[in-house]
Amino acid sequence: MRRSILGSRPVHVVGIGMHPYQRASATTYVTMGLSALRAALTDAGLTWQDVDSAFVGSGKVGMAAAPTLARFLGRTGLPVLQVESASASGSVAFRQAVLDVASGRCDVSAAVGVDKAEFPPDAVSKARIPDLVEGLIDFPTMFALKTDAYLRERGAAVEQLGAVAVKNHRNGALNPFAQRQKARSLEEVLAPPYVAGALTRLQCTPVGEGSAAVIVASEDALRWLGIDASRGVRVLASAYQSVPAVDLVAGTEEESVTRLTAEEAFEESGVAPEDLDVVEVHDAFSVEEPMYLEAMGVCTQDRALADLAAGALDIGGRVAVSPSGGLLAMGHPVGPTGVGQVCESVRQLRGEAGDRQHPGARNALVHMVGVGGVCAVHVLGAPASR
Amino acid sequence: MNPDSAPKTPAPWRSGDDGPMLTLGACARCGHRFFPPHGYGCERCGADELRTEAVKGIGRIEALVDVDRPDGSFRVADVRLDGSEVIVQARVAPGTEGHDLVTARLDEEGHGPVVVFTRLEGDL
Repeated sequence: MRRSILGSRPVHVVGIGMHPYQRASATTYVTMGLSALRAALTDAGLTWQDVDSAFVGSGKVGMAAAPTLARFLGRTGLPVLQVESASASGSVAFRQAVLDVASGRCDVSAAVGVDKAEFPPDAVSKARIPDLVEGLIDFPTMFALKTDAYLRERGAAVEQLGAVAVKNHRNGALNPFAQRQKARSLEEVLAPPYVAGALTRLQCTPVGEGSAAVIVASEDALRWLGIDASRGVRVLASAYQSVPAVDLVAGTEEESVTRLTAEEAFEESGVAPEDLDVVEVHDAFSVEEPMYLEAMGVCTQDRALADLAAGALDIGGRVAVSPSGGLLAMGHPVGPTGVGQVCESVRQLRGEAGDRQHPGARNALVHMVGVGGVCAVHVLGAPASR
Repeated sequence: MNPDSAPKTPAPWRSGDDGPMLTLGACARCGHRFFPPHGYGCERCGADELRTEAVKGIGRIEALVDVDRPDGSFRVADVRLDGSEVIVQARVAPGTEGHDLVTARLDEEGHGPVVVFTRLEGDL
């Protein structure tokens, strides 16, 4: 039986820090991870010695990243754990930190996502199930097929979908941590070459490297450690699911697991889709943004592209979707991505997002899916003082 | 099943008298059918007693894309097999369009025999 523990023991995000997302470089994952963690500790006004546990989300960097990072912050003997859940690795690291505090096991926990650019082989392909298209269906091709189906079902045009990338590149141009920081016109977004099907390069996420970190704390720790509660963002829900029963699948597996995970998060948080001010959504490919917004009920079924065209999803619109630039512009280094979404949402809820601030942001939702059919959804609430 | 050995993984197709026959996986307990076939376990009910069914590859295209890569161009599609819940990803022949009724053929040119779906005139 599923139980919520966040209601009885509140958890707050009290520190955030990032190392910019970037193309492959000679910078080690240790340098990037330490940079993000130290920034998060500084933001929280804490030291590493205040941290009771740490979770490292990484999909590509290899084994033993967690103790290696912890070692260089000053050995304290705290439990550290590396978690992997494909694209949702960082989201799951955040969830584990939240649950460690919510359970009462500890009062302060850190979550850091870190990855280098290189991709190791994935475990799905190691199952060795031969099909008719071996070696042909990579991620862009897989999502180009979903794009074709999405557009056919709605009678929509590729230009409408290209507008997703235009919005997110515009937002990313305002984000100093984004891998792509250049606003793009619709003509630029739609310009060949095509990566697969209708998907152009600017409609596909850049998979690079970087790091993002957050510190979460209990209300007891806020008092004991003198943490500035006016900047503490409350975690209202933490939901994580894998692909549902075959008979519950409606649409794609990604849409189905998103719908059910979001339903759990809305139930736990008491926040409804229409109450959201900020949504950071998994948009590795442009089609994913409208797919998941509709699956979560943030947009009415078949209405996401119309909402986008009307400006409802812009910063300053009905709900700011991916004000960070999303995966399309901010980037998708994998391990850091879900944690970086939390960092952006915390900035928005604190009112510290600068030029990309969504006015009056009170509730934020962050969403990631992962290869193999997993989904993580968190709902965050603004500090009570705002 | 011998716990020390990997479950037998059937080939996804075999030659038939009238073109390739696709191999569907089928659960002996709940009847769930799937593609590509494997011997790991039923995604619907978890049973590890799986069998196979040979079917003629006829279906309708649900999504289709062209891909150009440095090592060659190809067209692939999601094909929903005739009257079933099973969707097959496969190469499709040039000239095939979305929603076309298609059938599996064997293409023996290039890098050996591969299954390619081509347009089938008429209706199911």
